[in-house]
Amino acid sequence: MIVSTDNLEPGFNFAYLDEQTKRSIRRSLLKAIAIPGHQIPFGSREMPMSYGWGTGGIQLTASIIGKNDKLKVIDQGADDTTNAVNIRRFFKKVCGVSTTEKTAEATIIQTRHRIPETPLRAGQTMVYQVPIPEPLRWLEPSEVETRKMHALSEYGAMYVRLYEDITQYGYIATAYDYPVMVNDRYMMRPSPIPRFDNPKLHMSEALQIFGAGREKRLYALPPYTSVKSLDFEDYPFTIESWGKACEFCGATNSYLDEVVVDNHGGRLWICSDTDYCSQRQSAQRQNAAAVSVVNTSSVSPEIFKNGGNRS
Amino acid sequence: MTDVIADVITSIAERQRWMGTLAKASLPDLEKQVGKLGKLPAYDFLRSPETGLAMVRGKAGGVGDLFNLGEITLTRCVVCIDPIVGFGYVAGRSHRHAELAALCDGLLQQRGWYRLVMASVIEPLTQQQQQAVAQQQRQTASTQVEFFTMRRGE
Amino acid sequence: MVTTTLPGFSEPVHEAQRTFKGLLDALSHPGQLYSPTVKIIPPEGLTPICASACLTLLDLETIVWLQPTLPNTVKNWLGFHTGCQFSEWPQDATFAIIGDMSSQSSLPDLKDFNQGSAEDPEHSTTMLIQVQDFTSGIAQRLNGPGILESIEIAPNLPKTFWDQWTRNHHTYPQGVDCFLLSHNTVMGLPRTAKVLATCPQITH
Repeated sequence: MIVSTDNLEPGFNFAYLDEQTKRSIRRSLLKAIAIPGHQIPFGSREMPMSYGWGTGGIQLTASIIGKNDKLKVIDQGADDTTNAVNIRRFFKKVCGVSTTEKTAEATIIQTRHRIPETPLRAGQTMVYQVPIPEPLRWLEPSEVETRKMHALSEYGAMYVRLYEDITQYGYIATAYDYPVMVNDRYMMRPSPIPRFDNPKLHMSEALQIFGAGREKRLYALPPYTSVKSLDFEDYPFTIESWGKACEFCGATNSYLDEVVVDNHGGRLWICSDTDYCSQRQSAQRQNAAAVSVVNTSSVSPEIFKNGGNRS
Repeated sequence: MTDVIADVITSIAERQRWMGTLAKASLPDLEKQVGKLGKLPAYDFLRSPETGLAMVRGKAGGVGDLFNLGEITLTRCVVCIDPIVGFGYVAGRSHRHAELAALCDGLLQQRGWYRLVMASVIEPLTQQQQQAVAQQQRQTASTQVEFFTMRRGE
Repeated sequence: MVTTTLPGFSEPVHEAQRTFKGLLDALSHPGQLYSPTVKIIPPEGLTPICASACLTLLDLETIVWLQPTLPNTVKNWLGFHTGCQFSEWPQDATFAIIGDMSSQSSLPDLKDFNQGSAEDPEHSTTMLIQVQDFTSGIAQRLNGPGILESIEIAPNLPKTFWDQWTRNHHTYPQGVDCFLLSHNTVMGLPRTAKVLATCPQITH
């Protein structure tokens, strides 16, 4: 369904930003694609929500979105949390675009901290909300210095940090925002996605762009770009595994959130990607109906009965 | 085309005056006066109405160095009433206002339209604006307080 | 003083968005062709897609270098619709517009344009190069980010361009980026695009 743009909130330009701002962000985006993983300063504007709510991602989305786009917004994998709902509503109001919760249907997916489980396809654009774009920030506080380090490809300090993890814990303990090397040249912070999602960045079919509103930086990964998570030969990069299955859909290969359900330490695991989970559940229901087999999987705890609606 | 009236625009100052009047008019007033012009000639957009930001700069006391006062929202538009080109720049976000201002500016540059547009758009609007300013000044003046003990600094 | 009587976009917001999406797709998928649909009457000297790209990307903040062989209509039209600044020095240019690559005498080397610096490679010039077509030139095989394995292209460009392009790629991350623009189709050539070989038969 395409919403008529005549019914838009009056008085705003399409997609809220003025054309001058869009042009300057668009020019920066093109350069970001030409230099994958390199951070580019952009004139980040005041948005009608506070920093930390995805103002960087919103400005990138506003600069690329068109009338016929279909927008999906997720926050930690979920389509129905406050941040996601509000950003989706914002774009409905200022663009009149149609929105969706289905990963496969979306042309633009704005995300906070997750990559959907459903593989991205060519023609889709992922927009990441980034709090801190500089991977070297906690190792070197000076922006002047970190820029030099990027210019010289001087990334030894990060390897030392990962090595310290190994000496301290016996393994690399970084669980999210795990640093990557892009196209064998720039070190990049993939935004706080769990390291579980890092392999999805590599050679993705979709265009991926990253925006940090407060820090006024953007960067990009063109499709089919090499993205390598940092590791050592004897300590190769690994992703998390839980040895559990999603309580609702039974998935064992998706990113699982641990949920405490009572005061006695009872807990369960559920998919972080709500769309992936509900797609699987509805497929299972259809299969079950088709072959008339009674579902014998474990019964959900009381609070999650009735289809597992978490909103 | 020969009815371009370069001779009527006696000075840039005159054009500045009418562009100012058009920009300061309220949209309903402008619509009403333009409505009185009757059938308007066909025109195209050379630059479709667009809204953006402009930096307002000022000089302290009108003589000092330029300083940036702040940004305002501005809408501009250029229409072409072949071959005459009319410009409209108005504060705010109204595309229609910019369009009408540009249209009037274009018409005012043509011999056939100058008198009519002056008489039915510019003069009434100027009068209204002057009255509004005068009324504002009277209202302000009535709040003036005379002190016995102090000399006012004017 | 009005310097052009040709209109710009009739729907500035949506036509700029569509053109930008075409440019974005083109640069993200080097070597592939994109034809965003936009209605525009270009000035003499520019093709419709090149004119649309100019309206989409240029404004007061950009400095444009025009190939001297381009007619004055281009400069006047750009000046009116975008308000961009012009420079005769390739080194200053944020954008360069080239009407005819075969006119070598009026063309500096790619390395004479702004290359960006080691810390700010994004300050380099973006070249908008008009080409006759994408089929009659020397065949080149490319790879790099945005290309799955490799892709063969044959835009109508002189051999000297490809010699310069190879050097341009070697200075990565510095170097210029190109858009090749025919009548209404665009192909992106970011600095990451690497020429593998200059012959039609090549295995990857």
